[in-house]
Amino acid sequence: MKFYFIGRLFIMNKKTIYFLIPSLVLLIIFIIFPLFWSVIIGFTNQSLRGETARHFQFIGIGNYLRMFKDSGFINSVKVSLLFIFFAITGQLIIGLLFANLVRIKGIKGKKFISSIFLIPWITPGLAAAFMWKSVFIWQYGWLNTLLSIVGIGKVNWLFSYPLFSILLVNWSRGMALTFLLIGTGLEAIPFHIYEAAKLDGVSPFQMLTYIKLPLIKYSILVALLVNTFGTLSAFEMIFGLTNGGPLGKTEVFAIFIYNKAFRDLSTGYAGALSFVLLLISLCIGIFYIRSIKVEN
Amino acid sequence: MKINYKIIVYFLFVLITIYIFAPYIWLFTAAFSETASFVTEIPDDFTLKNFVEAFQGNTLRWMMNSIFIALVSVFLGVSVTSIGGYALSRNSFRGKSTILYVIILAKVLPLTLLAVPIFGIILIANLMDTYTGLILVLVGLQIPMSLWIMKGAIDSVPIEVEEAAQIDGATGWTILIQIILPLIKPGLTAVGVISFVNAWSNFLLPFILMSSELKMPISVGIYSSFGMWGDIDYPMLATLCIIYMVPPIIFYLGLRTYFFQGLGSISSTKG
Amino acid sequence: MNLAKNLRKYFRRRFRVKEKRGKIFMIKLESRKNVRLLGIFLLIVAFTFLTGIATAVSPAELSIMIKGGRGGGWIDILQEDLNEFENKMAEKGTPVKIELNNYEGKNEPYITKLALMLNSGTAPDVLYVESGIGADFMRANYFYPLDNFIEKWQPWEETFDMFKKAMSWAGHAYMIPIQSCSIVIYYRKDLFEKAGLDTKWQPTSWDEIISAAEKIKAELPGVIPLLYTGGPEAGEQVTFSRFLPLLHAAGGALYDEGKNKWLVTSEPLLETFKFYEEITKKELINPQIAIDADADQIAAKIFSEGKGAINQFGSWAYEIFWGPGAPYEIPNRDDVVGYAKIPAKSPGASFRGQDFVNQSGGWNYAIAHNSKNPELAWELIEFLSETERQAGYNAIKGNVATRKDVIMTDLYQQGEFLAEVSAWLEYTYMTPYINPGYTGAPRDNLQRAIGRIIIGDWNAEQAMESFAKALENDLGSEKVLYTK
Repeated sequence: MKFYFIGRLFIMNKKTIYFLIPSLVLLIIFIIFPLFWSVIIGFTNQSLRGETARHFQFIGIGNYLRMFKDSGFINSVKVSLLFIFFAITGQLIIGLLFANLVRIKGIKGKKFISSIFLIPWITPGLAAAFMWKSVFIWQYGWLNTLLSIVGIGKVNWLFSYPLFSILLVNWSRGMALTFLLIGTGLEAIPFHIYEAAKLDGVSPFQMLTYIKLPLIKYSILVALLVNTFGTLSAFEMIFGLTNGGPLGKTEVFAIFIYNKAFRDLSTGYAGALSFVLLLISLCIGIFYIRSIKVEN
Repeated sequence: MKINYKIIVYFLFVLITIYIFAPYIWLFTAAFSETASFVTEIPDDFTLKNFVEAFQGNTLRWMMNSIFIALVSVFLGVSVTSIGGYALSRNSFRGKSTILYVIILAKVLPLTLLAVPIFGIILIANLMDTYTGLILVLVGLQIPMSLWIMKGAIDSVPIEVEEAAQIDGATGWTILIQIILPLIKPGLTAVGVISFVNAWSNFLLPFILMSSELKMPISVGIYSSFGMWGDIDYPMLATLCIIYMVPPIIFYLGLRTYFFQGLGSISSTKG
Repeated sequence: MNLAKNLRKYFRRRFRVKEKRGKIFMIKLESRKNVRLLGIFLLIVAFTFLTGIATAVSPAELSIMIKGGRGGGWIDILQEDLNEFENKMAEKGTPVKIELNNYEGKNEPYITKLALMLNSGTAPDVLYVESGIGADFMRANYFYPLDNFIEKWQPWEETFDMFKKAMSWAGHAYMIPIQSCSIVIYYRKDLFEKAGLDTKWQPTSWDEIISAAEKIKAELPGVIPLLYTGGPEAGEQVTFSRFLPLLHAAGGALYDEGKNKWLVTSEPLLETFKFYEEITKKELINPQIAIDADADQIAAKIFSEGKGAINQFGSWAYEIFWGPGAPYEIPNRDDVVGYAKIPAKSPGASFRGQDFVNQSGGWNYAIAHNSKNPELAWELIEFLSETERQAGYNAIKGNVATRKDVIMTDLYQQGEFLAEVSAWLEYTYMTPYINPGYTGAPRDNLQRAIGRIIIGDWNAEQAMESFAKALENDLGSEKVLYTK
């Protein structure tokens, strides 16, 4: 079947730049512009209820002043930093470990492991939250049942160790990407390097640290970048599991903003918070880009 | 010594399998019983009633909504970013590195950051509570990641291929569709799967942009199915979760091999 | 036709047939792969169209939104009534189609949803709104003024004054009350008997509550004596049914209407925080349950199982949690569940010199400002508010009525519990619950402070100080008043 629409032809490399336009338009409308908007809103006291819903006023840096003395804000920044740090570390270690394990000669099950690794990631955040709740929930969750059989006794995970609980769930979701990205990086290592190393009598551990790691540095950095992005957006999962945790112990910045914007309906304040989050994200992003550039 | 290592490795494999499948156990025990709660136990009544009940409510509608929204946004996203990636890959122009920089930075932005302004934008554009609005937003948010993957994938196609095709008399569009696209199938799949999963599991956006119950995607539907005064219908919750999870898993399993290759092209080519 | 237009739009998007600067581009669909893809895509699109999803939902003439939860008596009755209304209107010659939206989730997302819809002008015509957030919505001009409709309308005349006040703002009435509630101290008579306490219990001071709880703790080890809650995640009932009534019982208030400021430090406030401090120190509550996001549900469940002794909660729980067919049904409820008024801290210490306090919120009808058929919406509200019908709603859901005529009906008087707690309306102090902006920073900070006391981080002084500072930071110093 051939449909032809007559048109002017263009030669490759000339004017294909126009192809970029739809992407750019969408990017500007939905990402760039909202960023500016949230900056501007951050200077007002707009809200979704009350007098300011219909007529908001500019209040200058009022929101920002409020932010820095807001103990909830400070807490959420602290929680976020802790969470992100441990999250990407955990994901990296697990992903790295299994990417290597799975490629050891003579180990069967690469395909199986690779397939199941992605299942937690594919699972939507909200569903994952409810499912893990059944694991953690005090008195009923099977993790506690297991522990009491073993003799350790029940622990109210979501109450006593909330950060650990969400980290545990987050690792299962993020390790997939690390696993895959590092895996492909490993596969890109030419075989002869292994042979040369073996000839030199290198132990597996040394092989890992001195040879493999440097070669896959780029993959690791990419994996970290993708994971940081994923973790900063890990909203639904935490929302469903602890909703900010007992008294804000797992109130990562994303949830804090959500609460201010959609629970307390103060969109102005949330705008200012968003701007701060943006700055933090940009810093992280720039840091990564520098590192990647250095690698090249 | 070698045997020792193997045992440890296999043991770790078992651990990770348990870790991954841990939460699913409850889903399958509770969904098939009428009376289960959060306890993970083998149900004494095995019934499919929950599934029947689920489909009698709005669930089917929500499911169809989600499928529609996710698929359209995937198609749209793939189309837009494949040609965008082509443009980025094959051209050099003055703002190129800036744009690349912006794209990578845009990748790390969390959604809640943009949720409030996007609400405002959609409001002004009069696209509130419409499929169009939601789909456009979903596509827009996927662009940085997708563009990056696409660009990487197209970069790995040597330009000689295009030149050869051009000699044969092919034109711009033809080159793109007939030659480049098939060569970057893994990249396309990667973008497709990631976009689908993101559109499918996105809860916040539909929550704030859609108001009619009839247009809700299932991610929001599940959340609002929770009884108000405590009658959290656990078996129903489990059932809904299972239903909710099925499409992405099918999507993923079907495209698995391509997907892995696609991710490979990101990490081995330099950005 | 809609179908063709949408079809073409998506077809064009997929295959990039756009006009850019006058150029029309060439597309070849030669390879089978492309055709297959196109085919699949068209199939999906066609399928979804056929199932009627992609086309815009045909606008109902009138839409009503309620928050009803799953099934249960009320929804069915409402649906019947709506059908009856439709028939009635059809007979009159002005047919109406009513679309019922039933939101089944929790309160907070419902409020968010309402706010978003009202702000964007996509709200249904008739809304079911809670009094507290209604106050904020009124000030946001989200509702259609009802003054013309209620002039000389009998049910409005019969409505109690305090509700009339809560439904109005700046001289206009915006909401029609459907139901209210009382806050009750429920107690398990069977546990009281086992512990050697009087089963006809009516505490007259806070000390009596605490000593009863201590006795329970001493005599019945496995039972949680008190079921108070705290923390922001546990929901609005932390303050609405527990903290605020106690504050009023101590003679205090959170908001000064005259000065338009929040009273962030005061003697009664400190006393109330001290109450929580005491019950925490004496281990009369279980902190882990108290700050759980589902604290109310868990408390109700524990109470129903006889593992919790005293639960200060809303009158709605009698029917909705523990009644026949309810999630935590108590089979011999009328025998084992006792209910008492909330005592003033000590007799006469409460505001207006009362010995007891009560708090009454409630749910109301309102017409959205963006409604295209306000008169029609009003007719529906009028219809639903007819005395016998209203009595039906109230009696079945176990909710306190807001009008004299409804309370006087036989149906209503049949419920012993309802009749009794309705009489407590005279003790009610409604504000600051309905004060503007309560549901934002004030409530959030207050609940955080309470939560910290419950888990033992802070004592009463620290809690109050932190609450005061946080609220001052959030609202600005002109909005707060330190009276201690």
